[in-house]
Amino acid sequence: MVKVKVDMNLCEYHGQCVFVAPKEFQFDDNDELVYSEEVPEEARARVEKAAKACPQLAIKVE
Amino acid sequence: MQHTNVKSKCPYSSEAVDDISLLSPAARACPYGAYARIRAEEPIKYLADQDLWIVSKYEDVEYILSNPEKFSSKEALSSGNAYRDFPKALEILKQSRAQPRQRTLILADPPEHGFHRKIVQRALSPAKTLRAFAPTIEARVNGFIDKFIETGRFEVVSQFSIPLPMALVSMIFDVSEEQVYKMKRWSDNFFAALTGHVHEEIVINAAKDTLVFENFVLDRVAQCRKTPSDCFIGRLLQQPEDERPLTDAEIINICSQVLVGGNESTINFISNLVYQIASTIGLEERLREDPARIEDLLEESLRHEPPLQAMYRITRSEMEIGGVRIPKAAKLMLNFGSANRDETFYEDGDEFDLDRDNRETLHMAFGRGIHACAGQTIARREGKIAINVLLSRLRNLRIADDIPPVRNKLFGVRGFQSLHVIFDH
Ligand code: HEM
Ligand code: SF4
Repeated sequence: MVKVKVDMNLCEYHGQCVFVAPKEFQFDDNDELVYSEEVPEEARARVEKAAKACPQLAIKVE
Repeated sequence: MQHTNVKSKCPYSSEAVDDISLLSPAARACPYGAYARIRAEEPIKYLADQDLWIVSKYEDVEYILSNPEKFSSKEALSSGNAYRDFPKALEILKQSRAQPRQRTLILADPPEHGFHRKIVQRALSPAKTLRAFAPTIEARVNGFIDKFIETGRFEVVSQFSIPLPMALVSMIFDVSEEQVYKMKRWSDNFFAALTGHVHEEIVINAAKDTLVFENFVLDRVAQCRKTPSDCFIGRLLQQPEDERPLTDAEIINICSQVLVGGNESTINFISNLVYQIASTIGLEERLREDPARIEDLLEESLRHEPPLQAMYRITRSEMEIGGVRIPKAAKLMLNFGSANRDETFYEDGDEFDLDRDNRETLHMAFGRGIHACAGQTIARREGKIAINVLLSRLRNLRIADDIPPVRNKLFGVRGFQSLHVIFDH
């Protein structure tokens, strides 16, 4: 499994991650970012792209 | 089921564009041939007559957007001198209440920008806004269609593309229908003046409208201070204890940017979507069979025809980009229209291809990095609702052959001045 972590002190809700990796990142009904903290290896490329797209560099992928 | 690929080629791009000036009539009809030549011959090209560097490759545009500490946004709209050569307009603007002048949000750099951005993001709160307004938007779109459905044809820009973002902006600012159309006039004049190269009369009107707009915003601010409100302006005023409040000038600037951003680019986005459907054989059927593909339509249209063709940055020091030496304080035109068709990243980029995977290479239509469009979720939803409702009511959309489409005069906003479409229902 791949670990994903969003630093919510940095996140400013640009939603770039939601666009790039909609399966792993979503906004819930209260506008809060919800995301999968562990994703399968197949999704690695996608979450890494989300990390790159994030304007705040708030997403860490291990 | 068998699908024909729905792809369409630009009818103009085979024409050689010898004149690389982006202001020529040929380039206005289709700038993409000129972009392709720039990418091939001189990817970062200096235009002496405009004292401007065109940045045409995807990688270079992305690099510049991702390094705001090296590239300033202070003239992001290329508007540094919209009023400078017009003493009468400057005289009018002396009465402006947006003082002291302050570069805000789209024109601000870190750390100031981050402060503005956070407040705007909170005030726009796209998910909340859309949840509140989406059903109303849908009803409104149906209302626009009711007005022309019996005639079997419509002028897309005035009867469809303009009213939708206008309705949304009216909901965001919580103002009346009538006020909205006044705001549209302000926003038109703002935009004309911002883009430069315009007549004195337009600039003077823009200056006058600026004052009207400021008064509208500041009256609303005063109201919201008395009776707290949950409209956009009301939310701009609700800052946490540890933050300083926005100044009047900042509030005015933010509102005008949301007004212009929320209107002009979205209008052209919607027209481009309708044009694509009406001019691409087989596209309408595929969207009808599988409405989930509307999302692919939106992304591929934003890639293929980004409504804002370019934004601008200023170099903070002398530097080298892509092997080219660029002096300090040079103005760079970040050409999204070109980057979005860069052959290094896109195969057959001139082709509109519904099946292209736009998550593979992210298009630049909303910019990238710290200034990435704050309204992109809203714009996408507007496009989605518009096309959903359109396809549910009308069929067999095609470009009217008696009145040809007219492109925008300004190269920077890619879309239409008028677009006549016929249909069955
Ligand atoms: C299809 C429609 C739209 C397009 C193509 C578009 C495009 C853009 C682009 C390219 C930028 C980046 C500017 C830069 O990097 O210098 C931007 C910023 C911005 N847009 Fe949009 N936009 C659209 C719709 C909207 C809507 C509907 C709103 C508001 C409701 C909006 C509000 C803003 C704001 C406030 C910014 C400034 C963000 C910042 O500087 O941090 N836009 N837009
Ligand atoms: S892209 Fe970054 S800033 Fe935007 S919502 Fe995702 S994590 Fe937050």
